Amino acid sequence: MGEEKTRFREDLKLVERYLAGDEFAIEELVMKYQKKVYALAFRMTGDVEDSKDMTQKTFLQAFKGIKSFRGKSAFYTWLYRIAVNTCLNHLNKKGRVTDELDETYPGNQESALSTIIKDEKGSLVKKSLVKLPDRQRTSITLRAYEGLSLKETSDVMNCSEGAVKAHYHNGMKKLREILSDSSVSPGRKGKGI
Amino acid sequence: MKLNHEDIREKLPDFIKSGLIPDEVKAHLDICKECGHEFSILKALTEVPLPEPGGMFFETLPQKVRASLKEEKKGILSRLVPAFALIALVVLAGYIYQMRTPVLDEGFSFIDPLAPVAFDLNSLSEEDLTLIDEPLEGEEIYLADEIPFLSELAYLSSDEMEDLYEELGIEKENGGVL
Repeated sequence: MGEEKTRFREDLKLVERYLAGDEFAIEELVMKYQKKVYALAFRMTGDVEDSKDMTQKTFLQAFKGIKSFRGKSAFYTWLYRIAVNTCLNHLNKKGRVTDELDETYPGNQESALSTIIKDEKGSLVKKSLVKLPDRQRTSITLRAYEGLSLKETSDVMNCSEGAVKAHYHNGMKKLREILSDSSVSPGRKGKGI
Repeated sequence: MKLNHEDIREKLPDFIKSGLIPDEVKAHLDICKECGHEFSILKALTEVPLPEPGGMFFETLPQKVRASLKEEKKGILSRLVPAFALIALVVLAGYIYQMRTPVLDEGFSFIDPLAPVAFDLNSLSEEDLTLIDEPLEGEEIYLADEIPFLSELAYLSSDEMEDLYEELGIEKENGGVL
């Protein structure tokens, strides 16, 4: 909790520095959150190039509208909200991502059989996640991948914690249905609940 | 604190994130197929590797973002400066035009026909000028110096004037004494 407060204060100071005219404060904030934003963008879009574009776009939009950041919520939840909206807008413009996601990316050069199996399983889960409606996918991405709490997820999604729970559980239910015949399912077939 | 099914299900992402799964939760996952299933899905999701963006992306992004924002600000300024300069020029031109042009608002103007008009004598010929100096027909101009008694009359008091009228015998109807 203390760590959270320290981060909150540090971010607020950087924002204030930027608003006071210190443009290098931008670089510090980008350095601090770029990996998290990129990871979120990749979970949302499933494409490396799109994720890079979305990451850059998120930061540009965030700093252009920095005056709307009132410091009521943490800077990173505010930034995540922009990232989620940027990715969803991009996906809607582009059209829903199809099953043919490119799985050959750098950094995934291991050839051990276990890795291939794990990757296939992960790939299947990822493809299934992309099929979910926006809000269900977003809630699962933020809760499962980014490890945000219910409160943080509700801040990012701009809805109540109850709504986040509903989106998350409906999304998980659909995932179970989609994956019921796959190896991800621990021997349970048919409808989940 | 004893956790029930709903508590465990809600906190599954948190357990996965922390990597710390209490024995109580492990025991529940063994007996509850619903939670066990959800746990395996969440685990598979988190195990999906995150590809490296490559191309020095993270090393260059902070400077790129700062430079883009700076460029954009400059762009806005460079668009605004000529616009302001143009507006200032138009205002200045309008002001100069107004200063140099007499106001001729025909709709609301009033020209007083009795107002004295400056007459340009330079436009008159020599002949015209002599006409101006000549008295009009029937008009006689007498100067006090030309008729000596007139200047004396001018210095008479009203009583003296009355006496004079009496002596001259000018009657009432002719402006004489009563």
